[in-house]
Amino acid sequence: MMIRITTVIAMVLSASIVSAEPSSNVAYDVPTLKFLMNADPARGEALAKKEKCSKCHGDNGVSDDGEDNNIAGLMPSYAFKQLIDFRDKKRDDRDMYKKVKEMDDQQLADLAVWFGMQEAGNGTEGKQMSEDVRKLVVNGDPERLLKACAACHGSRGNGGQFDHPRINNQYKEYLVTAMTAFKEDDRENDVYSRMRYVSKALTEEEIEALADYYALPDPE
Amino acid sequence: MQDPLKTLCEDPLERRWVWMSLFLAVLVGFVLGLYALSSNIHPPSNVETIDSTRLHLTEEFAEDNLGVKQNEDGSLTVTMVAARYGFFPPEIEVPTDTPVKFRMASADVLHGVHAPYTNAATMIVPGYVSEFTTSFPTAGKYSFLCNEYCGLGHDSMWSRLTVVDKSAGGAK
Repeated sequence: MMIRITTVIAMVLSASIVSAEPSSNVAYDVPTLKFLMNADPARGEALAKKEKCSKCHGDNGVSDDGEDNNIAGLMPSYAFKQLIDFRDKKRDDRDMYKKVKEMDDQQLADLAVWFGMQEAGNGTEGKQMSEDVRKLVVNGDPERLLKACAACHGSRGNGGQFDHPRINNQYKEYLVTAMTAFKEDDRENDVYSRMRYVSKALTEEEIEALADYYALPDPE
Repeated sequence: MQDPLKTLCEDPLERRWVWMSLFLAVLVGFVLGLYALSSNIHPPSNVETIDSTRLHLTEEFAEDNLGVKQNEDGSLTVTMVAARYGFFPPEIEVPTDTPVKFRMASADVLHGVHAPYTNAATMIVPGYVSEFTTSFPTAGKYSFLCNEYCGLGHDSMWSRLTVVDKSAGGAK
C-alpha cells in the first residue's frame, strides 16, 4: 500500500513539474549545418589571435596545461555547440563565458571551423587496451545500462557524428574532470543526458582507466 | 510452353515445390492486400510529423517531459526518444496489465524498438512520432533493443523495461 501511495505521489509530482529549460539551445538542423559549412576559417584564425585563445588552448588548439581542453581537431559541429552553450550558460565556465558572451553566431562558427582544421593528437596511437578497458570500450555493460565508448566515440576515440566528440586529443586530467563533471551533474549540456547516464554508471576507477587509455601524454 | 524454372532447377519435383511456394507467397500477399483494403488498414497507424533535429526543443519530447505519465483513465503514457545510441530515458518501469501508450521519436536516423518476449515493437522513423499501445501481462525485466541498423554503435543501443506486479504498484 505504501509503495502504491509513494508511486502516485511521485507521478503527480512529475506531472506537475513545469518543463525545465533544455540542456542546450543548439539543434543540428539543416540551417545550422549549412551555416557551419559556410563559416570562414581565416576569420576564425584572426579572431582566435585577437581573443588570445592560445593563452589556454595553445597556438593551434593544443594546450600546454593538462587541465585545459585541447580543441584542435574537434568537429566544428561539436565545438560550435559548446561555444553556444558557454554563451547561453548551458555549460558553466566563467572564463569561457567572458570570452564568448559578446560574440555572435558567425564568430563562434568561424572559430569552431578554424580549430576543427588544426591537427589533433591521438592519445590511443600504439596503445593496447587492457581487458577491463576493452570491455568498457567495445562491449559496455548491459547490466548497468552502460554503453560502449566505441559506440559514440569510436574504439580509438576519433569521434562520431555531430555531437559525438573526438576524445583521443585530450589530456588525462581534462578527461577525468569532464567525466566526473557529468557524473556529478556539474556539467549538463549533453542533450538527453547521454553522457551523464554513461558517467554515472562508471566507477571512479573506470573513469581513470578510460582516461588513461584515450589520453595524450601529459604536457611537459 | 516450357517451364521458365527449367533453366534453374533440373528436378521436376523441386520445380513443383518452387511453384507452390511462389503461389503461396502471391496468395498471402493477395489476402493481406484485400484485408487491408477492406478494413481500411494502412501503416503507419499514427501519422504525426515532428522535426527530429529540434526534438529536445519541442514541448512533448523535451528532456524533462520524458518517461512514464499516468493518464486520467489509469492508463499510462510513456514518452521516449531514440537517438544514436540509446533510448531516453534508458530505464522505465510500468505495472502489469495496464494499457501503456508508447510515444517515441527519433532524434537522428531510423531506429526501431523491440522488447523480446512482448509484443512491443515499432519502427521509429525520423520526422514522425511512432505510437503504439500495449500492456504487459508478465512481470520481469525486458530489454528494449534497437532492431533497425542505425550506425556503428547500433549493437550498443539498448535500454531496460521493468514490468512490476500491479499489486505492488509503481511506475517510473
